[in-house]
Amino acid sequence: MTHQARFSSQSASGVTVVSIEGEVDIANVGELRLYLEQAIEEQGAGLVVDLTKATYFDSRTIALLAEVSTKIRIHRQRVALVAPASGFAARILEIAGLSQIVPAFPALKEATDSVKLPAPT
Amino acid sequence: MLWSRGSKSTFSLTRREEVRAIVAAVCSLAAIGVLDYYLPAIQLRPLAIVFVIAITAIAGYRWGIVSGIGSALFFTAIEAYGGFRPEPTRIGWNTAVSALGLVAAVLLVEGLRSHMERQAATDDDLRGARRELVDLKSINAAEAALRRSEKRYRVVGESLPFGVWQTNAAGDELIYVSEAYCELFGTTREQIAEGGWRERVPEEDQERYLAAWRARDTKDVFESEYRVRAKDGKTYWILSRGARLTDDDGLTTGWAGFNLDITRRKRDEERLAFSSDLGRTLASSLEPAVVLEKTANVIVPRFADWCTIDIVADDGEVERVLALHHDPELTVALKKVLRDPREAALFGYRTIHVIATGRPDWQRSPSVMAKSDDQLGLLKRAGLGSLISLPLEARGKTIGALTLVSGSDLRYEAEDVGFLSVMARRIALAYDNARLYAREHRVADMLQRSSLPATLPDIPGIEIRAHYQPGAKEAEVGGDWYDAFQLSDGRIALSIGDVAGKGLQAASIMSALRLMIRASALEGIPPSRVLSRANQLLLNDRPEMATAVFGILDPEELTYTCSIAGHPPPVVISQDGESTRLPPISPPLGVNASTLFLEQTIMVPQGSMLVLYTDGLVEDARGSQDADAQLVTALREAMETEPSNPAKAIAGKLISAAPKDDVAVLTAKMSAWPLLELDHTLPAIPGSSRLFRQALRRFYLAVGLSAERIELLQVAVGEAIMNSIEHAYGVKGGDVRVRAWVEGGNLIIDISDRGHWRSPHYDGGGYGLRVVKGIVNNVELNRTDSGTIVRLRQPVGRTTQ
Repeated sequence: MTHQARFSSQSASGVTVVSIEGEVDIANVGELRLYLEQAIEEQGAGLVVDLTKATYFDSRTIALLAEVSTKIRIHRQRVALVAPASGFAARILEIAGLSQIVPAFPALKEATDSVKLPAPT
Repeated sequence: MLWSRGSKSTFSLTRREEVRAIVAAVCSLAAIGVLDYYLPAIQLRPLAIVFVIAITAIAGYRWGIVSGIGSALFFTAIEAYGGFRPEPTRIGWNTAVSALGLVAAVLLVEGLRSHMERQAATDDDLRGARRELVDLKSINAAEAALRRSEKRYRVVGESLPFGVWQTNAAGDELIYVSEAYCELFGTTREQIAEGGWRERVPEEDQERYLAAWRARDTKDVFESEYRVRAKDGKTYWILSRGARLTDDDGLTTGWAGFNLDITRRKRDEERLAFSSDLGRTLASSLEPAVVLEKTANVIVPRFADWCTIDIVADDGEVERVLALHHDPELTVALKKVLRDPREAALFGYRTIHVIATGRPDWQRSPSVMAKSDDQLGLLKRAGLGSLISLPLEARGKTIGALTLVSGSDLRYEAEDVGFLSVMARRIALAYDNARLYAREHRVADMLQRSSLPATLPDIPGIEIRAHYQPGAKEAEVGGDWYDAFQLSDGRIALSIGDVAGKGLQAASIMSALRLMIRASALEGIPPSRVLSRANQLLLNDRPEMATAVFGILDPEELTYTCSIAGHPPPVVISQDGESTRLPPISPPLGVNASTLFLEQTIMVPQGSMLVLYTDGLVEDARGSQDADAQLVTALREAMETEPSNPAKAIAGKLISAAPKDDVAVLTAKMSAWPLLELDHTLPAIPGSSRLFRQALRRFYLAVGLSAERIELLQVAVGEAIMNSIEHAYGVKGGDVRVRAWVEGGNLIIDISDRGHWRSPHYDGGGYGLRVVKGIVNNVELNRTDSGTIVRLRQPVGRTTQ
């Protein structure tokens, strides 16, 4: 697999799951942005970004996720991340302090369930 | 031939012929006497006249007179003796009448014969003239006979177009020359005798003639050929032949000879030689400029003192591509002055017009309108007597003009135009062919060069080098290619191959194959399927065959995984000289649509070298039993001597300077040591950040960091690299340099750029610095005029997390 990263987007019962597989850096963060903005426009109940298979991402991706979480609240939607405990994603999110802004769950199921709940008023 | 037999009888009659004539005369007279005796009724005297005429015709008038007087006396004697009609009173009368009648008959016959000889002499017949010459050799009769013969000789000579001549014994005085010859020169006999002929004969011919004349003493025959510029403006070639005249004692009394016009023969000879030389020349090169240069050297000096060639360029402008004079100094001067064919009026000939109309131009004494006296002087020195300007026509188009110029105003005749036009067409066609050929070669060459990668990937710890050497036949472009590029995951794709055939088609197929392989590889398609695609491409689109190796070198795994299609398999030579190679499995590309290409993997350990090559490399060694051994020896030597370009060193060892086939060699040498130090520079573009991480990853592994630490360190260093890329981004030719090493238990990583400092317009939303500081506890930022250096320092044995 020589592609730097593969992004995929799946929608089921109002929740859009965007999965990241591989490395995200300055070269392809723009592509990720397109996937995420597309998901926001679909105006489902919520958005889950699955970072389980992400082997590398940096501050640009972290900033993009923070930006998405802000935008999505305007649309009265919820966002959650999937990052298995002590994996690369969980550790880097911890260092960056993003886990305080966007909730992260170790498994996809928990994250999906969390965004299905009605948004707090 | 009547006249020659006659002249023979006049000049000399052999002793035997004289005896025969006398016997015949006596027998004839006896026969007449007997007849007269027995048949008195028949008047026999007229028979005597017939007899005398016959003798005159056979033996000449001397013998005619003798026989006439003889027969007169004979009849007189018969009558005096008391013949059959004794009328003594009429004896004297009869005798006188007979004698007069006979003399009249002799003169009549002689006159007739002279007339016929003159008639025959006007026949311009070389054979006859030669026989005359042979006859001349026998002029050793007495003075009297000589004088008589001279008269005849002159009569004959005047009837030859270029006449005859005669000198005194010493050969220094011309005592006679035909009127026709004088007319040819347009001078008088006296002027010629005084050396006036020299004005009309070219100097080199004068020398040749005089040399032959001086050498005449050693021979009995003199012969020389020379040119004469005749009064009528034409140049004639004359063959002069003469023979020694001797008296009875063998002493030379003079020299006599004749002149023959051999102009036509000479011109035919000259044209034939020129035509065959030209044919050889035109066939000897396929380089357009060389074709013209060589052609000009065949024309000058033989057909012209100097010549120019103009060619219509691709943009329609007429360019003077050549000027050549037989004097090299004048060539240089003429080239300067005659650079522009559009200055047509300057030299009185208008090649532009010749090219426009496609009609030849022939001028005698062309007018000169020089810009300065210097130019005029130069042109006069070069010679401007006459010129012919011929269109160069090929494939229905006028592609230029060939102009021949001679210092002599008599050089070219109107009839030369036809012959030279034919030659010009041959030159034009050969030049046009060469031009077309060169054009195809240039395109093929360009295609091939563009088919080879402009740069080879620069990867820390792996030296990739290549060498390409075209085949000896410069006109042919081979179908060999090689390619090396880094995939975005840091692995390296290496391909090499050879398209069957040569020239433009092979080059274009190679180009298509190489790009298809590259595009497929960048898409992440594995080698076996990349070659399957290439196979389909050839089978569907191009009726050609090709061999190839395509594979991927993994710098972390130290493996090369490849598929081989009928190509010499890759070789790995280890640090201690052990060679390993894969077995060849699959057939070439373009043979069978159902071919399966298998993938094989070969280890490429630290310090070893992977070598890919085309079969041209072992062309010279092929056939000898130790071809493989020779290859391995060359590889070992390249390992031991550590040349800067092993691919070139290997080729240099195995093939001659001018190999028959083209040769491509591609080498990837793995550094002998793990990557304990890194110094890597890449262009400041987004795509570089991943390649930096891949190089750094091998460094981190080499210095023994754990997988978890590597993951985080990559982010910290990645942030710094991203900043540098942004600093330098948009700055022309900006580079980012990453250096990493271990010092005093610390891992030190420097990230520097040469871009002028600009505050980052994007700082990762404030997360960038937080991430770096959260991972690495010692960060230094050093800004200078020449750029920025970020230094990350981290203890090797400790982790912050």
